[in-house]
Amino acid sequence: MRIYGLELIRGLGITLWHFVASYTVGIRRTFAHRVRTQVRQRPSENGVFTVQYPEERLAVPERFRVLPVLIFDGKENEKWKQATERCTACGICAKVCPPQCIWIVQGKSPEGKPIPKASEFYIDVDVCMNCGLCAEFCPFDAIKMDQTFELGSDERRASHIFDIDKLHVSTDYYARTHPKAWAEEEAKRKAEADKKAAAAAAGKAQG
Amino acid sequence: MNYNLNYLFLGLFFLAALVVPLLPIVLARFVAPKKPGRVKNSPYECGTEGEGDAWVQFRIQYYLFAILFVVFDVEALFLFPWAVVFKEMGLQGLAAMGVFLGVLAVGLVYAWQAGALEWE
Amino acid sequence: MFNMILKIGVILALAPVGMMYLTWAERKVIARIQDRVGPNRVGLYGLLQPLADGIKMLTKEDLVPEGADRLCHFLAPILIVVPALFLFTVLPFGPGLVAAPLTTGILFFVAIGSTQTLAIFMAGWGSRNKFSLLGAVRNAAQLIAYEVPLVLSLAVVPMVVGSLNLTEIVEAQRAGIFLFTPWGLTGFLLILITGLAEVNRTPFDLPEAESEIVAGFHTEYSGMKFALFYMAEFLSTLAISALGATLFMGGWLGPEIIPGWLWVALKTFLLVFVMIWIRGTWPRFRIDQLMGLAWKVLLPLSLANLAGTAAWVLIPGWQGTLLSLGLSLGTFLVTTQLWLAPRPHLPRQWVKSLDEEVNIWESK
Repeated sequence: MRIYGLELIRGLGITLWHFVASYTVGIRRTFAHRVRTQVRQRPSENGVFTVQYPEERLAVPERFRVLPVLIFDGKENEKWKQATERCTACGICAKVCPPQCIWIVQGKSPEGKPIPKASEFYIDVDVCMNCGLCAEFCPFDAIKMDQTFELGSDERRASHIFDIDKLHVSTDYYARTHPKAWAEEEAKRKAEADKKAAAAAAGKAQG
Repeated sequence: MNYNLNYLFLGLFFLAALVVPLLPIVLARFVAPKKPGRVKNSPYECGTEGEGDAWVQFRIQYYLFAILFVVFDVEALFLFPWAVVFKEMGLQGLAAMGVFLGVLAVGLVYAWQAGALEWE
Repeated sequence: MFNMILKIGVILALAPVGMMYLTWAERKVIARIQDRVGPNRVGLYGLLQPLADGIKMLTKEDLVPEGADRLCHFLAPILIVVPALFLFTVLPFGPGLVAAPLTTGILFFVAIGSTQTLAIFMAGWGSRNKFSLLGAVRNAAQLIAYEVPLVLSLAVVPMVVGSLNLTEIVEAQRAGIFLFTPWGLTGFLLILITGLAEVNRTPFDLPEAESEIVAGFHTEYSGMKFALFYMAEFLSTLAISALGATLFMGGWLGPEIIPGWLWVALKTFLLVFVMIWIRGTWPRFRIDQLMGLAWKVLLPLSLANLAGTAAWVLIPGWQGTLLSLGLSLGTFLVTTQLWLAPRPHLPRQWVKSLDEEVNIWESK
């Protein structure tokens, strides 16, 4: 035989504790404001776990990805130039893109000869499915996935086709948002450059 | 104050209380949009097309509980005047009501034992 | 005459405001129980949220389904709000602070309160929607099941006081509030549970169970009419809490540091908090559990409580108290065992299906 209804009362105790803790723990967290916006609360913890989004933000993980961006060598706030542009208009990204949302026009030199630079580059961000294949396949580290996710707008046709001006971000910006990936890429590039230099030196010595 | 004025008050209150729900309904008539449509005004059935009429007979089981309700609610009605004068009547009143309630309690036990209280 | 108009004005002005802030309080408390913050954008601490909700409801289209009984459909939200407002006329908020000091206070309260069932049934039937009708029928079954223990547990108070007038009942508690007597505690808990069922609140919200029947009887209501159903529900919640505070917690009685009406308000909001707290804790009943609880536990318990009260009144001293307590506790233990304890044998239809299953496996 067992007495019915006791667990109902125990449940009331649990919810009451949550109710109280949401105030007591919450006060402590208010003073530890910075910690709270960086670390998501663990399930074992009590207290309010709401992040007041527009005012408070959680740091996104480095590999968090939304839309592709084009990289140029330069500082933040700098405008991209054809000279600093990394893209060579090879078109691999457009070919691997599963929903086919990338459109590239190859640049021409003043004489009319095609050059390895893109003069127009469009991404339809409504079609893009954020898979990141373009960034995976790019042989020149020219297209990368960005973390900007606040893309709301009140117009959904022209402004949702990103052109080459809108897509370009500097290497400094990328280094800031993706410090780990940037360091790895730089190390790799350096190793390759060293190897090339060594090979060139060896060739010179032989020749 | 004359006691009967209370009923006059309740009558007035009824008229005044009607304003509380009617006012927002009338106000909404002027403010709310009005765009009826055939699909929009069809009875809601989770998005699928309506099937058959909603005005159907419902289960006889409800009737059984309704009868039980009538029995016990009438009993409750008898109980209130008795409860008010219970202290003056004392043991004699308790015995009279005890017999009445006892019969009903036996009826409840019978209904339970016969399975009338099972919802299937 | 002026006096009457003043009273009408005060009730009709304060009750909707109380209801509006009850929606706010409910959302806040539920949010806190679930480790959230709740409404906090519209005004300081979201205090203007009810106003924003009201404006939103006002500007929504009012839909009447095709083939509906238009008169029923229109009248239902009105006929559910008016009785909910009527409940406040007999509740005393202080010595002499009662709109209509009827000698039949409790009876009037119960009688008016139960007419809401009719409005809900009108809404369900008038909508000509299957979900609405199901909700309405469930509501009727639920209300008649819980009406009985509610009325029976209310009857214990006039047995002790000798009056149905709510003012006199409060005055009778000067010596000690009824909550601290065994029969008073039982009656109070019974009123709390049946009150929850009467106003269709969780865990008794089957008539509007979202997961089963969309929104129950108010599926086909939108805009202001939908808001009126909510208004009626919250007004009834307030009223039944105030009734519990009056009957068992001594109404306006309390240390004279704060005025009497504030005591009533405090006790009412304590009960409202308990109701919201219960909503944040317990899941919804199944319909057979709902009917079982009413007829197999609450009804015998309220009958036993009547006997216990009689014992408490007739036998003074600790023997009466003990007898009253024993009757309530004993009935609760016995009825819950009879209702819920596992039976030694499975019901026949289960046994049959199990046999069939075994046979299927053996033949393979």
